[in-house]
Amino acid sequence: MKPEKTGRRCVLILLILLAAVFFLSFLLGRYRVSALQTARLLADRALAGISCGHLRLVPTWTPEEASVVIQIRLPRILSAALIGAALSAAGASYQAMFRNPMVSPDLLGASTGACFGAALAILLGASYAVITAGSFLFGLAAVGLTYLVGRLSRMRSNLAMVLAGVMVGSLFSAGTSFIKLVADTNEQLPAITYWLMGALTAVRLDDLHFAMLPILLGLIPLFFLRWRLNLLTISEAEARSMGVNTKLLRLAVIVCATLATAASVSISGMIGWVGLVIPHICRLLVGQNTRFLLPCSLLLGASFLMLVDDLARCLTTSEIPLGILTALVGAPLFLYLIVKGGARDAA
Amino acid sequence: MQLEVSDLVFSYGDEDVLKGVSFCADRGERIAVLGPNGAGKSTLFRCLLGFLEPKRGSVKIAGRDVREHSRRALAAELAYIPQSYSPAFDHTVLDSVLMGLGAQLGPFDSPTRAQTDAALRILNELGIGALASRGCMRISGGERQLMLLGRALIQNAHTLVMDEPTASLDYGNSFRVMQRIEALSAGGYSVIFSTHEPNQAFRYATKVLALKDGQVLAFGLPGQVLTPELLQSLYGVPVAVTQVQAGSRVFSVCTPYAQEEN
Repeated sequence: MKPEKTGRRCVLILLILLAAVFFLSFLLGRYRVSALQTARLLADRALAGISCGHLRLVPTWTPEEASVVIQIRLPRILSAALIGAALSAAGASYQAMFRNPMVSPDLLGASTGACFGAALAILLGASYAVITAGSFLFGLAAVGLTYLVGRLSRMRSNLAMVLAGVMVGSLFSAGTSFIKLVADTNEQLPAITYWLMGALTAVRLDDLHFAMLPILLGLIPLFFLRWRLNLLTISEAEARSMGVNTKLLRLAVIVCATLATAASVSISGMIGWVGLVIPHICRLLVGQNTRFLLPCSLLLGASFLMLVDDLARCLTTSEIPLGILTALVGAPLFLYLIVKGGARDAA
Repeated sequence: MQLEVSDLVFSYGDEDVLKGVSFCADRGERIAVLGPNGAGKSTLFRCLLGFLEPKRGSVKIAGRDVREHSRRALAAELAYIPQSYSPAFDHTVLDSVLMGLGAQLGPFDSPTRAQTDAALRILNELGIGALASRGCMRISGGERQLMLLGRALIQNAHTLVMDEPTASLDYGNSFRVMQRIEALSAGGYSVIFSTHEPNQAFRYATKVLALKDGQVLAFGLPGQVLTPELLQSLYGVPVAVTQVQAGSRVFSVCTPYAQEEN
């Protein structure tokens, strides 16, 4: 069938795009490393990873080149890809679940909770690892609280959950504001502000290892549930009459999307717009079927955030926080889609 | 017996909405459920589909109580067609039909090529094959209802539960949809549909279930059950019944009228 073919082709093209952006991102930056050298370094690293360090290439690179590519650029580019994929896939899943294309993955408070956790950790003078962990845990806690309130409410589940999310979100924002108020203005306040704007500057391989597990734990089930997510876009009565356990499916989506979102925010800070804009672009490419929409969002989101991070690194001598750039790129793109996409997307 | 409802009582809180409803349907039957607003039609359907837990009595599908069926097993017996379809996203007609495979596919599966072909075949049989890749928000109400019918068909259930299948359709489209339903039941499907149009019961039903205030006023052949007296007590307005010849067949039709004041 035609739409299916389009879907497959789009996934393939986006996969190639992802590979290209991934590799090109290594070549950008003030310290020049040649493409060949970079490729050899990456191949060496991959070989070592697969064979547990038994197989290595003969080094043709200087230690400086190795350190720039493996210690500095690799964690950054990998985390940009992972975070972009996580936020976009979580956004696409949430949009299906809440039957609303305007929903972003922090609807239930994952990001605001994570920001509060990070601000609190910075206030207490914690180490970078503790900031990451605190942010992740508070992100989970915020969504857990939202879910609990939504379940306790006697209203219909979806609306109650959204309202609870708004409330929990503003509660944690208020908490973050209070922390900023009492924070030391010389060191802590700038650190909190900078963290909130989102950046991958400080990401090291260790942080990546910490965030990779929850992100993958969230993304992999979502990827395999990709067709079934369609069944959340119709009314609950219809889905149940088709033998779908809607409660379980919904809980699975919330857990997976929250794991991915909270883990992303915990290493990168607030990065808005990606989870909203990327699924929208993918809808224009492959249509509404989540079977293709989800993988496309995942791939395009990864490429998009790597590109934005490239901009953040190269545009000016001092780095621009990612959150500012995603908003600068995302918002106009979104406006364009609203105006131009109307013909195709009646929703 | 495909469907057997006996002495079904259901209540929201203290108020009984269904007060001992009993009826049954065999393979190939078309049961029209008639009744004024608030008679309990939707509640009855929700009990049939296992969404609501009855207070007393039972609903048996293919000889087994609804509550003993697993969700998936029930989906293999009963398919539900809602009154109106308001999707949040503009899925294609084909994708919408394929959603009916929810019970047959595992949680991590996608439809196979054979299943997609089957969906296309069903769309062709329903006469809307040309719309397969059209968005489901961009087709007419009648076409959408046929699409939902297709979704119910690919679900492979033996009984179709339809909540006012023609409520939002124009005259011609509701005729076309009802023709399809008639043809399907001739092929072995049992159909239970609710309607506010008694003429549809005359025209398409093999049996009529007349519900008022949660009680069955009558259950039987339309020609015998749908008397002017019954229709008046159902809807509270005087109704005249007469016969019309259309082609070689004779149909009963009815119309309400205002009693002239002397």
